[in-house]
Parts: sequence; C-alpha cells; structure tokens
Amino acid sequence: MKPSDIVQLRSLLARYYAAETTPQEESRLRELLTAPGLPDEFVPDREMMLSVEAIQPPVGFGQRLADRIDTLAASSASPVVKARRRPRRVVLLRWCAAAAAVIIIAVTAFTRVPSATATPTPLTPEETYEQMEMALTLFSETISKGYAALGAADAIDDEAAENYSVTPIFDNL
Amino acid sequence: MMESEEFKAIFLPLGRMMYAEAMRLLRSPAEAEDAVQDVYVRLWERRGEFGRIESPGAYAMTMLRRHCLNLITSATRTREFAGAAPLSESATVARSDLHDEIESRDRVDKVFGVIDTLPDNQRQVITLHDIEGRPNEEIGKLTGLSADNIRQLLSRARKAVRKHFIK
Repeated sequence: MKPSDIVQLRSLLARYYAAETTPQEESRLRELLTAPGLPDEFVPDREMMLSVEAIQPPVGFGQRLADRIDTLAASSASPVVKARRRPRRVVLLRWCAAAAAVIIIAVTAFTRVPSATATPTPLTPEETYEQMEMALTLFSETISKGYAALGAADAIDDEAAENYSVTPIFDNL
Repeated sequence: MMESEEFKAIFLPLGRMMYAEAMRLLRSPAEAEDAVQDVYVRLWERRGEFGRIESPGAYAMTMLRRHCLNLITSATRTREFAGAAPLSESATVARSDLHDEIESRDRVDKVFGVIDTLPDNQRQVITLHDIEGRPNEEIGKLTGLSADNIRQLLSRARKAVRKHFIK
C-alpha cells in the first residue's frame, strides 16, 4: 500500500468514525481497507466494516424483489386468494376425532391379549371398570387440552385482529 | 385492488429493514433473502386486504418474523430428526460456498452481538443508518432526533463497535 493511500485512509477513517463520510467516501474507504498489504493497525477497521456489510442486503437485492413482484403481477390473472379462517367447529371436530382415536387405541391396548400363545385371562368386572375409568379419564384430559389450545389460539387471534384490523393469517403461516 | 406499482411503492422501501430482521433471526444471507422473498409473495397474495390495514410495515414485519421463526423451528426439527450436525454444516450448499457461509455467519453473530450491547439510542441509529441504509433525514423523522444528534450517536456507536474488533 502506497504512503499516499495510507494518508488518505487515515483521513477517511477519522471522518467515518465522526460519522461525516459521504457514500462515495465510504466506498473509497472500503476499497482501501480491502486492498492487499493493509497495515496491521487497520485490520480492526477492515473487520468492522466487513462485519457490518455482512448484515446489509447483497448487491441487486432490491432489484430482485422488484422483479419478483413484476413476475407475480404478470402471473396473477387468477383472483386474489384471501386468507380464510378454518371454522371453529371444524377445529373442534378434529380434536374430538383425535380424542376418540386415542380412546380406541387405549382401550384396545388394555383389553386385547397381545400374543396368540398367551393364555387369555378374562377381566373381572372390577378390572373392566378400572380400564374404562382410565380410558374416560384420558378422553377427558385430551378434550381439556383441546379446549385450552383453542383458548390460546383465540387469544392470539384477537390480539392480531386488534393490531391489524384484519383477519389474521395463522392458518397459512 | 392494489396493483404492482402501488404495491412496490408501499413494500419495496421496507425490503432492507426486512432483510436486516431476517438476518438477525436466521444469520444467513441466502436464507434471509429467501425468507424476505417468500414474505413478499404472501403479501402480494393478500394485497386485496390492505385497504383495512393501518400499518403495512408492521404487518409485513410480523409476517416476516413468524415466517423466520417457522423456518428456525422446522430446521431444528429436521436436525433433531436426522441427528445431524449444526445448521451451517448441514446446509445444502456447495463445499466452496460453505466456508464463506460459515465466515459470514460468524461475522453476523459478532456484529449483532456487539450492536446489542450498545445503549438504546446508539443501537437504533447505527441499525437504521449502517444496516438498513436509511439517510439521516429519514432517521430524523423516525426518531425525532436532530441531524447533529444522529451524527453524534452514530459516531459513538461506530467507535464502540470498533473496540470489539481490536484483538
């Protein structure tokens, strides 16, 4: 690096840390900092500048976004898809179906004899009562969890509706 | 219904801010750009609703954050399921790009870590100016700070960040 470049580098750095540089000066500063043969004393400055640059959008980012919008506009002859909420009844029905499936599996697992070679042991009325009670408890817990999840979703939903005055977008995100 | 020029006028100026937020969450330039593009597609699909939205910027940022968090969650699940190494090693990038990707992530981690330690007003100004690339006039409108105050805070913030790069 030439002595004149080092003089210019010092001057530009002083202005940069005083927040007085123009975009053109910052461009020149970057050029000098990334040039070969940079003295060690400027390495922290180079690392800092490259690190800040690493967070900035890459070259052509804005243009790519604009192009993407143009492509979407060109291909959007079809009507706009509006965000559509899943009806609450459907959600509840799904939870009920899941709970019923859990019960069937649980009852089957508890009452069926697993192996053909095992000697079948008939359940006593007390045992049957216990198994049924266990299955119903499981059913009750599953339903409670479903309602709790619905309540939490409603709370978030309401908050989003207040913030944006539109139907929120949970279903598709 | 909103047309592409109107859509661009509202949402393109938000691109840098959205990218910075995506970088903060995802720490990868490629993933951040993909996330922003994905959110623009979703915004475009919902353009019919924008007449009822008070703040498109806040709406877009909320959508972006949710999308990034979904990406992080699904990436974590995938890694847990596959028992794979950390994200940077399992990413499907070419070997020659992998080094750049890891180096970039390290830099991003470091600079965000440093900026997060700054006082609030310095952090706000350096983020708006050096990361989001906003001119001083716009920063003044957003923050209510005078041009001199902005310059002073930016100067202090840059000097403070530099200290963390001295080995």
